[in-house]
Amino acid sequence: MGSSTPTPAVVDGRDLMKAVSAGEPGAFERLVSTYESRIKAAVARHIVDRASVDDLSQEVLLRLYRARDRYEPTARFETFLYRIIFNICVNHTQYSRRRRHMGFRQGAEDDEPGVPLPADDSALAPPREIELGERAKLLHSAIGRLPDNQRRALLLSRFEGLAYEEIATVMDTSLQAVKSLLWRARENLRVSLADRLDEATEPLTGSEP
Amino acid sequence: MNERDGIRLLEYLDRRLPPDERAEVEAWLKRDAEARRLVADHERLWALLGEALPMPDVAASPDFRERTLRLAEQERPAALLPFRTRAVALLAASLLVVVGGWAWWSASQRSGLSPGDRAVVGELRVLENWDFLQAHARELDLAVKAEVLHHLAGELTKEVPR
Repeated sequence: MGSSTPTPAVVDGRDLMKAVSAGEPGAFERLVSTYESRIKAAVARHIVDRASVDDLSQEVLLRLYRARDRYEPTARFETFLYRIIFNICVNHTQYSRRRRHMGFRQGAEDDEPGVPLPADDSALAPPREIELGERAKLLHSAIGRLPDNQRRALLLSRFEGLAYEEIATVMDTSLQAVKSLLWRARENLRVSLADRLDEATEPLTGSEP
Repeated sequence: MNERDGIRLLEYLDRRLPPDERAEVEAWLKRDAEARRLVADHERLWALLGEALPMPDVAASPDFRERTLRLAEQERPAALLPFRTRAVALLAASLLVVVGGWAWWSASQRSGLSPGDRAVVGELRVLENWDFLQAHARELDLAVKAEVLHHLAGELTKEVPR
């Protein structure tokens, strides 16, 4: 308490995007700096091959740039942003699948899309990290087995913090469909982890870092 | 559990229900041990999702930023000016076309025939017709002569514009 660290100014994406639309010098650079990590994280959650995260994130930012004249600041900027991210990731996934069907296999990682795994550094990690790593693998695998739309709705809800209405806009579907997707995703996860849920949610035994 | 009840529980878990409906679900949970267990499982699962899954390792990088800005810069020529400026330019160009068109039309009107000139031209046309009638009086039959005369009468009685 009483820390002298300055609180970072809250940046409104709408204001930034309006500044980009108005051609304000440095506005796009500010937008890139503000949203780079968030965009990369969202892309990394939605696609399977980590090698494409930077390229796709860059494409997201360029699409934002190209859309600057059309941008209507009526909804939350994040909804607009995630819609672009979502479309790019869906297209990329479909393209990757078509390539795989045609025989261009990229690697075993392709089999479990959706959520990042921690780096496999268990030999050096403290016990708590190892346990977290095990739980992450368990969840990663379960989420990877969800149907695409259920997984995407779940990721947008749990990790991007979007409201049901925003998810409906991003996924271009109805509110009722989103509720149904979310319920089924969570129920499927619960069922697939039924045997391990107690184990997975026990308090971690390793000491806090 | 059917999907309708499931969605109701989902909205309960996500705190999306209005107070009266929330109270209804809570009353249901008090009565139904199975539903209570389900809600508890979902709460644990939700917490686990947040705790155990790491943020992807996607640190911001100056290199990424530079490349992105460079690519955006390359796209600028297609839209060098901001939208509002381009809209104003388009409006100005449209106005220029309208004003220019009006000026051209107006000038062409001025360089054209005045009402007096047009009256003279009309009279010349009458004279040409009269000459034609005289020159071909022998060859033309009565009906044609009558028609030409009728036409000439019309031309002569036309009001001359001022």
